[in-house]
Amino acid sequence: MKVIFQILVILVVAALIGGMMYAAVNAGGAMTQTQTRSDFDGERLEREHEDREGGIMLPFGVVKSLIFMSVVGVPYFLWTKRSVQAGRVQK
Amino acid sequence: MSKQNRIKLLLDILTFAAFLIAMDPHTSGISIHEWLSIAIAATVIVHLLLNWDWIVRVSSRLFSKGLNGSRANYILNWLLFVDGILIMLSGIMISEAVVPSLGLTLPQNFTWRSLHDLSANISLVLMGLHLALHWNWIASTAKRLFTGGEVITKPMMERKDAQA
Repeated sequence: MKVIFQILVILVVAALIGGMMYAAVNAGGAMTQTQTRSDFDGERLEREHEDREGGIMLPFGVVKSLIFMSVVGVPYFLWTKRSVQAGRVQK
Repeated sequence: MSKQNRIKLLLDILTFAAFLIAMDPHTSGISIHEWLSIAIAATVIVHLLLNWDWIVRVSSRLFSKGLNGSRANYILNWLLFVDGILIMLSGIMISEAVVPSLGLTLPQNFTWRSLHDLSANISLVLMGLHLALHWNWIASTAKRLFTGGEVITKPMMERKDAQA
């Protein structure tokens, strides 16, 4: 029962945030030019064509994501480690 | 090592691996990308349930003194959660596999695609920070899982709070 309540809380919070985002995008979208189905399909076909031209299907995206996360995470990790050590020395 | 820590670590590793695959739809294909993302959303709910006590504890003491590290961690987790919702919502709105397979058609809008790309890129930054913040716990729990040793139960910044 407790777990169901917790899941419900998560889903309600997610639905509220998602609803606000949907409303914000639709309110903004109403002011911009409406996109037709053919425009959207055209864009999708263009993207699929680009994907097919990608050549060798190696998971470069995975490597790219890992590198990107390391570039962000490692300096932050070193900074927090140094600040913890500095706190210990001060003590 | 407690059974819960073991489950947490294995779930987190699986979720992270799935996240990396989902971040590369060009290689995996759009169907795998979409169905895997839905599975990730389900595992994120389990991840939140497993860490529910921490969420409740920090939420109730968010504005009390000496919680800088936990507060930063808490805010980062909220940003990650909101970003995750944006990824899912925009992903559903531009879905080419899951939503059509349910027999539904949604209004098309370029904005959702831009938002999906933007929120996915932001998630990489946030995930990098999230991993960095919990790296000691991950390394220590993994070490314990595979070799045996002491387990660190709190992220580095929270230990700094405890020292203060």
